[in-house]
Amino acid sequence: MNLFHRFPMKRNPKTKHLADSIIVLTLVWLSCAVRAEVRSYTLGIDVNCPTGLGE
Amino acid sequence: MPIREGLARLEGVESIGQRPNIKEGTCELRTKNGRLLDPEVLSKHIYNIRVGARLRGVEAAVAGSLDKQGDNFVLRVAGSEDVLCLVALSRKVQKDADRRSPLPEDNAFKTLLSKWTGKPLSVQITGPLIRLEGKGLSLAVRQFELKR
Repeated sequence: MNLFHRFPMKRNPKTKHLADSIIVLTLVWLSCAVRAEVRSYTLGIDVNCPTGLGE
Repeated sequence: MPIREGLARLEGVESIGQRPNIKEGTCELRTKNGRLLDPEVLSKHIYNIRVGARLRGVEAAVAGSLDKQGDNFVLRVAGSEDVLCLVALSRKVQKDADRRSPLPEDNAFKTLLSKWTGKPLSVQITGPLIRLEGKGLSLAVRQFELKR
């Protein structure tokens, strides 16, 4: 992936690699950040059968 | 159709706990991207599975920011625009047949409010999700954990 083809730093492979990594990490972080934080639900269910919730 | 299979068909469900808690009459559920479920939608869905099951209640563990909105304390759900009105616990989702004495969770709401300093506070709150007239979707505080 070359995200810096328009910038002068493209001639320095180390800088380019570092910048690409930062962008990828930022995108990963953003995708995690949009997760709403409802961790879990506990459903209380009444069941009218002998096996109950074990069904 | 078993309840588990029926629940898995609800849109947005990511996973359902392997085993139900028979003693408490509950089972665990997680949603994709931690999205908020409407208890009424869930209740109708469980009824429509047509196995004689009925939703007694639903409890959620929600992380967010404790804040004040007018006279009410609210939880701003992290990662979304959802705001839950916070109320005291009046009824648990878990069956509690052996209970004989008051528990700390009875006062969890009061204890949480005592931590309020006038600034938003990062917290995870667990408790029944209920829809109250005039307050919308609300979270009754059963347990809470302050975050850094």
